Amino acid sequence: MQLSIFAQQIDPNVTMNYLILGYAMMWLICAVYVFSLANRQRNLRRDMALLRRLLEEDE
Amino acid sequence: MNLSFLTKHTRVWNWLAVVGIAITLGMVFFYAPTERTMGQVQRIFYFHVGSAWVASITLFVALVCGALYLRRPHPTWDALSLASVEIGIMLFTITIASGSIWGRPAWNTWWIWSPRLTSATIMWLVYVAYLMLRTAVEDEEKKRRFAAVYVIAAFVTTLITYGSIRILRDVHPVMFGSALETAQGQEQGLQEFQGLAAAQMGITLTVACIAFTILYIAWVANRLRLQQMENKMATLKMRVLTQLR
Repeated sequence: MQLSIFAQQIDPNVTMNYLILGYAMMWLICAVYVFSLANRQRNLRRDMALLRRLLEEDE
Repeated sequence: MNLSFLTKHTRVWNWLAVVGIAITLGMVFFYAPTERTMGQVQRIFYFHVGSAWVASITLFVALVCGALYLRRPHPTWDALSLASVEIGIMLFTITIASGSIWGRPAWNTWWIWSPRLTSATIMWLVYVAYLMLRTAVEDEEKKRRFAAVYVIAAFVTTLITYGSIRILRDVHPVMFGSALETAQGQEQGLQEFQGLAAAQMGITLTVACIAFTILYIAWVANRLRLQQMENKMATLKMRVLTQLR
């Protein structure tokens, strides 16, 4: 006997909720990474500005 | 090695990635047909496979950079390897999350410890450990050499993940493989993804893979720029410390 996972046809719209959830999750993961990159760059810029100021003050 | 073509044009790469992903989304929702048996949720497939495919490429790039670093040590190889692993993890997280959500209506479960899913989890953890272990070594030279060796060894998990559905019985369909593999899977009563035969689905998947590749390049460009800033920061710190003394 063959196992068929998708043996029966289903209403295509029944799975719409999972589609929305799937794409929402993917965008969330992308957004987290982009935000983390932007955040690290902003922090570095701030720290570099501070160090430059310290160097200028010392000179 | 000069990677200025990446770091100097990050804005261009960012826009190319946005356009690529927008085109892919348009094709996924307005061009690709609705699959008969799975319905709308099958549209996850294009991002699921696209991200998985490009994640494998990123990890291969990391492996090559690791090997090149061991051959001729240069910080750029290490930076590119690190960026690739970091992005590979992100893309693979997308793959795992989207696969799990797709699995719920398809297999009636969020997760199943099948060979493919187990090996994929191990692979993800191995690369996350790479990032964690990097922070444990203080000496830069030693850290880079250790990371290069680790990233080469870790690629074995990628090969195992790729081969798991071809060697072992698994509910996960074979996406890229020979007709023989597909026929063997069908004989065993395993799920076979027939929709890929449709040209529109094939074209959409190809576009998704290209878009994810551009996204990878854009993220690498941004990550390398971040690395350049970190290097500048280290130099500035040294200057400040020298002045304070």
